[in-house]
This record gives sequence, structure tokens and C-alpha cells, in this order.
Amino acid sequence: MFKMFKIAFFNLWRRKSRSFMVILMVGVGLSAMIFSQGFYDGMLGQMFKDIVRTGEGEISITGDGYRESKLLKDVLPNSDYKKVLSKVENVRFVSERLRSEGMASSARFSQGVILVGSTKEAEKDFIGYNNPIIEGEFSFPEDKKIVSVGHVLAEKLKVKIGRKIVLQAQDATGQIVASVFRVGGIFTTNNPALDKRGVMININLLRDFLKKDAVSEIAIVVKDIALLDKTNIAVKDLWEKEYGDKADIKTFIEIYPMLISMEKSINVFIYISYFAICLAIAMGIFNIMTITVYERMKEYGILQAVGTPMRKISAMVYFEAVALCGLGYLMAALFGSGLLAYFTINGLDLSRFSEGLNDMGMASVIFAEFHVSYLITALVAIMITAVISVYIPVRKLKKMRPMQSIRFS
Amino acid sequence: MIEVKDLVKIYKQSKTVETTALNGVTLKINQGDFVSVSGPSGSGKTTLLNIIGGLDQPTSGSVTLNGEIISDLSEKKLAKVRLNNMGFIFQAYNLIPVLTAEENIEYIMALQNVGKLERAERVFDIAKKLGIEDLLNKKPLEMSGGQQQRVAVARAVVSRPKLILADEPTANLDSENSKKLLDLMRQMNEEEKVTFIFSTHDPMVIEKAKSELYLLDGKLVKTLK
Repeated sequence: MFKMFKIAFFNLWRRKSRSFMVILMVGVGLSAMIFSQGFYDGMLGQMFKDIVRTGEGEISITGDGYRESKLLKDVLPNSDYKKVLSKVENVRFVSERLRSEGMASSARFSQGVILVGSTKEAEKDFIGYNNPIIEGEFSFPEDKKIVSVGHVLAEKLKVKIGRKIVLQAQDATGQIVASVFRVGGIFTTNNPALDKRGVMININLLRDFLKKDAVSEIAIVVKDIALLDKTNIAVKDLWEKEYGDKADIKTFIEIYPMLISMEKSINVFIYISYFAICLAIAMGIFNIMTITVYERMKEYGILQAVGTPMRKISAMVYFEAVALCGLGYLMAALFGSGLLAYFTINGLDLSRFSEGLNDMGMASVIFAEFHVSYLITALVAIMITAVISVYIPVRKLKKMRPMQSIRFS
Repeated sequence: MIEVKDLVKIYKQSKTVETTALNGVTLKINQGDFVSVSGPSGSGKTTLLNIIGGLDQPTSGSVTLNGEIISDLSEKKLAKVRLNNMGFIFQAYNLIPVLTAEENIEYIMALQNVGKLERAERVFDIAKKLGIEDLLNKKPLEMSGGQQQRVAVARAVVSRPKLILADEPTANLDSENSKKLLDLMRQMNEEEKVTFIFSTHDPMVIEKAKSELYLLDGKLVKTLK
């Protein structure tokens, strides 16, 4: 068998340019496959993370009925929820917020907004987790009437750092209240709702403003996402034990069903494009391998004629295909992984398309992901392709008598 | 030993065009024979040799080797028959281009699992007899036609088969090398009772044959002793 491998090896070496072309084709194709998988996963993961993390968290608690009504009558009373909920195993971060619909007006423009009352410390692991500030400071202190606003909102109101805006809202008594605040920071979170309408304000200032000492939502981030359901049950149990009150406790999967179905659709798209790339590579390899096998029919005929068992000849042909594709795979594994490693650290800057991307909840700098499974998938795909691509010529060869192979053209 | 019965081989060139290469050939060749097959070009000499060697399939008729009908065997079984019983010398040499002369010569022995040392000894002996001992490290494309032919001969005889089929074995050799080759073939025939069947136009080869078959238009027209 060693001799057969030697013949196979020398044959590959004899046709250096063709072998190199196959290796290059496989390498480039697979690199594209590996990179696109990591890029899509990164994009999707980041979008998920941004929306969930800057939104309602991985587990969200609101007063019963608040999610539908958004009214101050349905909020939770103020309490030290953070201290209590932090005791639950797998809970990593907790943030208490008070939200209210309102209106922001600058000297020239007005816009409906969401007032998000929280603290800088609590939000550093949520809305502020990804260094969202693009101007000023992500700061909304209790002792100064300073707010941070989403970048799209700032643009719409035509306000800059230090400028004043008037915030209006309906307080707990039903009165319309208004107050002047100064813009201390402009942020971008990739969460379209926040970027377009978000005004971050200190929670105690908002409580005074709305005359409601309350919490409208509690956002939780877990340590291990795989234990999300278990943690959700533990939070529910603790809530019932500690507060007894009815509350609406949900995971992000229940809160954002659209996001989940979007993930599924994008995954389908990824697999379709993956399949298309694979098919294109397979056709290319199939074409080249078929020509290679047919071109060497005479040689196979000679081997048959002198008594070489067909299984050895088949093994040799398969070895050649697997060796070519294997080398291409190695090239792709190195290049694709390298590319992903670079974009995992530095991100792919698509800021030219930031407006469109932000509208879809995507960051303008996309950080790729890398999982060993990409390499395994690519390896399995290319090996199957290699075997299939030589299967038909080998089957034809098996049906031929040596003289037919020798005379084959 | 070899019995050919009503052998017909028709090549289909297209749906309508057919060429009859052999047309009802019947013959018997005994163990230890030294047979030449002659006839004009296109008379079916090569086709007859190919079918006897199981390299090609007859359209009808049969070939029996040592009592076994080999014309009906599967390619898998035929490969074994060829490996263990036959040696081939092709007109176009048909060496494996990526292997050296030495590797080409020992190839069949390697398939037969002959030990490395014995292979090396036998390769050197036969190379010496054929005057190609200096060419052992060369690849086919680095050799002349005559040199390649001698390597092909060495490959066919080195595994000591019981039957050697040779298609124009001296076609590319000069008279001195032709004589050397014929002497070697006769020696193997006489000492080891190896059966030789060779197609040829060469009067010197025909002269050395123990018996002569003459083909014309795919038919066996003469059998001479």
C-alpha cells in the first residue's frame, strides 16, 4: 500500500500547478466558509447581547401588568431588590430602573422619549457595558440635573454636550411635569430603541420628578446562560418567598420572541450560504478531480493490467483527493482562524454603513467569534466533498477492463 | 494450458460503425510453448493477446487458463490471475511514469509481497541480463524508447510468471538488444518452462518461435510448427 501512496504523492507533485490550484481553491473557499461563520455568529451574538444587555436583561422582573400598560400604577415599590436577588446562584449583575414615556424638547425640536432612571454604577454592566459613550460622559448624578441621551435623539434635537433640554412627563398624580436638564453625554448602544429615544437620568431624580418612589423593572444578567431557565425558576421562588407580591418574571427568550425567530431565520440564511459555498467548492473540486482521474485512466489501466487490486487503485485515487483537500483545509484552517482571530480582537469596521446597521440593531464595528466547531464543520464538509468528487470517476474505473482504461480518452 | 474457443471481438466505434478485430479464433497453447503471433497490422494480434491476458473482454467465445474459464471472471478475480500467473510486455511500454526503473521492475513483486531484499536481488539480476543496471534510478521519461522497453521486459519477467504475453517486444530495440531479449526469453522458456506468446513482425523473433500463429482479418489462417 505504501507504494500506492508513493505513486499518489508523486502524481500530485508531478502536476504541481494543478495540485496547487486545487489546494488554493479549497483553501480560499474554506477560509471564506470559516470566516463567514465566525462573522455571522459574531454579528448575531453581538446584536443579541446588545439588545438584551441594554434592554431588559437576560431575566426581567416588572410589576404585574406593567409590560402591557407601561403605567406608573403597575410598577413595583422601591426596595433593595439588588441585594436580595444577588443571592440567587448564577445571578451576575442586577440593575433596578424606573422607566417612563415622556417628551424632550430642545430650543428647536421636540421628540417623544423614554426616560430611563438608573445609576451609573448599576448601568456599567448593562446599558453602559460596552463603553457606549461617543461624546461627554456616561454620567447621570443625583445631585446635578445632567442626563445622557442616545445619539440619534441628540441629532434629532440638535443638541450637543452642555446644552439644555426640557423633559416632560406625566407624574404619578396625573399632572404633566417638566424640568430642565443639561446633556452630559451622548451614547450609542446599538439598541435602536435607546439610541433613538433613550434619556438616561438618575433614578432618584426621576422618582422625585414623577413623584413615585418605585422601580418599574429589574434587569438581571446571569453567569452561565445555559442555566438561564433554572435561574429564572430560582428567581421566581425567591421573589415569592421574599415579597409574596405578584410580579412578571420572564427570560429574554419570552420577552423577545421576534429576536429568537430572527436568530433562526439568520441561522437558516447562514446554513444556506454555507451550503452554497460548499456546493461551489464541491463542483470545482469535482470538476478538477474528475479531469485528473480521467486524464490518468491509462496509468490506472497499467496498474490494473499488472495485477494491482482495484481496491488499492481506488484507495490511491481517494488518497489523492483527500490529500489535496486536506492540504487546502490546513491552509484554510490557518488562514480562516487567523482572520477570525484578527477580527475577534480588532473587529470589522463597517461604520460607513452604521446608520443602516444601527437601524437593525447591529453595531458598526462587528467582532467576529471563533469556535473550534467551525474547523470541525469545515473538515467534515471538505472530506465528504473530496470523497464524493472522486466517487463517480472511481466507479467508472471499476467497471472498465484494463485495456479500456489504457485506451480511454 | 490455454484454450481459446470461437473468440470474437467487435469494437463499437459508434452506434452504426463496428470493427471486428477477432472473428472466431480457436486455438490451444500448451505449457512451455514459445509462440509467435504474426500477421499484418490490424489483423487482431494485440487484441488476441489482450483477451488471453484478461485485459479485455471478448464479445463472444471463451478463454480457458489451466482449466478455468477466465474470460468470464470478474475484474477482481482477473487481477489476481494476472498478478500470480502472467507477465505483460506492452508495445507502448506502459511503465508507471512517476516510479524509477527499479521501482517499476519490482512493482509486481511488491504486490506479491516478495521480501525487500529478494526484490532488490532479482531486480539487479534481471537488469544486468538486459543491460539496464545503470538505468535503475531513472524515471521512464529520462530513458530512450529501447531502454524503456527493456525495463518493461524486466518488469514482466522478474516475478517469474508462468505465462508471458508480449506485444511486439523487439519493436523498439536494436538488433543486439533484440537478440539479448530473445535469448533471455528462450532461456526462461527452456529452464523454467515459462510459456511465451508474442505478437511480432520481426522475422528473427518468428524464427526463434517453437510455433507460429498467423492471423488475417481477425481469423487464424495458419498454425505453423
